Amino acid sequence: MRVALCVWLFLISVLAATLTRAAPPGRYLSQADFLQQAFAGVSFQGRLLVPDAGLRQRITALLGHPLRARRLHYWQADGRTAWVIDEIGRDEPITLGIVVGAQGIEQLKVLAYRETRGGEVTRSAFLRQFNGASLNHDQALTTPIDGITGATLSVHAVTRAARLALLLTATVTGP
Amino acid sequence: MKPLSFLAVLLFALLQGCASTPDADFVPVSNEQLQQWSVEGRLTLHSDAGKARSYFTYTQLGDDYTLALRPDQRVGKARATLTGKVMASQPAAISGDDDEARQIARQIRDTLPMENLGYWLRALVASGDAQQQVDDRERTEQIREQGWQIRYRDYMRVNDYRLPQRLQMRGPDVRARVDLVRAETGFLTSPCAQESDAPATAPPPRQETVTDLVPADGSAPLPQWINRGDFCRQLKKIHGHKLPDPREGLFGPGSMMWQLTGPLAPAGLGAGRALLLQIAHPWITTAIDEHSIVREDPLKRARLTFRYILTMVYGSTPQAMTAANKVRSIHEQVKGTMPEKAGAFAKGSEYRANEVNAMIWVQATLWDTLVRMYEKERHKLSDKEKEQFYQETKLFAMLFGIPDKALPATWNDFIAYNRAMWDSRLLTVTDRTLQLKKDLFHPHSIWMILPLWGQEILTAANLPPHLRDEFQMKYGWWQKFNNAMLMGSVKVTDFILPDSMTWNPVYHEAEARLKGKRVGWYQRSMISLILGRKRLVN
Repeated sequence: MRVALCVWLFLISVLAATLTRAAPPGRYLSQADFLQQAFAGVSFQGRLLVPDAGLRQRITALLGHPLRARRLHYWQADGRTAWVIDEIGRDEPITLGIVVGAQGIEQLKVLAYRETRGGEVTRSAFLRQFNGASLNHDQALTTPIDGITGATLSVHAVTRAARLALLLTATVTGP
Repeated sequence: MKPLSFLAVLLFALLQGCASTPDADFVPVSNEQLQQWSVEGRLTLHSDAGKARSYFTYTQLGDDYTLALRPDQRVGKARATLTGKVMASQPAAISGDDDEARQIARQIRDTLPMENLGYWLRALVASGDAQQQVDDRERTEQIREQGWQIRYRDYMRVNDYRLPQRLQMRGPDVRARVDLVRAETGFLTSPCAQESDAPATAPPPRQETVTDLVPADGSAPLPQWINRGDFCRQLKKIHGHKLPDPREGLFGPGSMMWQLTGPLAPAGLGAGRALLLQIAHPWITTAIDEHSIVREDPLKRARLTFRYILTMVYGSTPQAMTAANKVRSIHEQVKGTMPEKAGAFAKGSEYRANEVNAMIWVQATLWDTLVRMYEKERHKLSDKEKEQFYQETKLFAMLFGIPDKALPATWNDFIAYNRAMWDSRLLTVTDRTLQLKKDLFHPHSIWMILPLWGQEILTAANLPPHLRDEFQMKYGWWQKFNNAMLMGSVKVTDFILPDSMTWNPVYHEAEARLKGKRVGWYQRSMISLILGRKRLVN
């Protein structure tokens, strides 16, 4: 019986090995690689922003929900500020790397995408639309962003994160 | 038995190596996102004041932390606590009556930077001027901060997060080692947090549950879309007054739920029956056709289902709540319109996964099948045991947002509901259903031929006869003979093998959690093999 059990377990394990397939990874760019690309060899310094009550209120108004994280990481060099921001698309957070310079957004990259749908927002053609965008008086982006059918929630999440990065950059760099 | 277990796991490990490493593709959510979390394990501290050692639970709710100490007990009541706020300069407050525990608490407070501990335990830097070293999987290897060096050894996946499992801290004349056993990543205070104020949809008044669920005129029952308010109210109902210790979860070791789902054989033998009863409901077939990956990747689909079900059954209360919210969210995406008339459901009518009647039916197939197969494979259950089990399944139903009053009240009502469903127009085997059944029982590899053949025999033996005929399944003398052989073989195997091999490994993991321990290597290997995770309910 024990031999039979071993054979059975062996068969099951062969089956599992046959059927198990690696899921496509949701990591598109590591934080380290994003920062290397963002600052292109320039030495940068990491900082932490702990929003006070007033800023949290403005963030809530901008996002339409409170910020989950207690703190936000950012990096600065050469007049540019890079942020790594998590914003929920439908259920899962999309991790975005956003570089803001004097003329608005310079780069927007998806570092990790965890949702099962809406992955079209990781395409560079979509993300390039954000280049040069800044905030107008209504806290909206100055550049119109074309949506993607079937990825509406993800598009909205990326747009919210872009607006948040601009708001936060204005906060840490001053007027 | 150990050499046998070792051999089995060795084979698993070798073959798993050919497939994929659990968690290899896992992209964790940033630990900065944790708002309510806790970790527990053991802390060993070496300082000028000597050596101190204690089991502990560190809990953080927002900015408030509590370090509960139990010097000689892995679980149970704290003998001393330190409380304070992260990133605050005020020293932690100590409370507790036990002198030894208070002494340890003082030593911890005087030597460790308590305001930073909540970050370091999550492998996060506490300030902007820290140095952080990460590996190629973005796991923190080391943090240097404020004269301290924190080195991380292992990590554990807990829900969507990756938390450290072992860390060593070295500071000015202080060394500390932290070995973590488990963690919770949410729902520590309230199951639904912000959603609890959502408006509720009051269910229509019910006169008699069975006739409401299975209308006598053969029409489809009134759909009751579940909204967030209903769901959260049900979750709170469970959370508020059921089990006093969240560590035990919704059911616990004395429950009929654990007794019946613990042995692997009954659920395994009945899997086909439950599945076919489910897809006989036209909504289920349509939802699978339009939304499920079961045809493309049956193993992945099965793993997802079992992870959630087993977490709800065996997880701690916060783990069960987390799983329930995930499932509700997944189900919300499953909706559409019927592509053709099927039984009581008109072409073009709406279907949704988060609908009370459909969910009651899916769950009914599980519990009815489980009891049936348990009694056939093990022993008869008394009426009292069945009633207790059924009342426990109501808790499970509530995790899906099903209101208590929508469910058949007693076990006898539940049986009546099942029989009424079998004979109703709500269950119909259409061409699509038949195709789905064919696909589900189709062996995708040579290794699946024998198990699926056995499963088909067992399913034919246990389906209601008219549904068996509708599914075009034979059950003649040859099938009856094979059914008897299969049942006999399983009974003998169950008799010979120890519980460690015939009971669900997640059951063993849950038992270890109750003791504040990590489950042993054999069960860990089985969980990894079956569920593709290194831990589920620890």
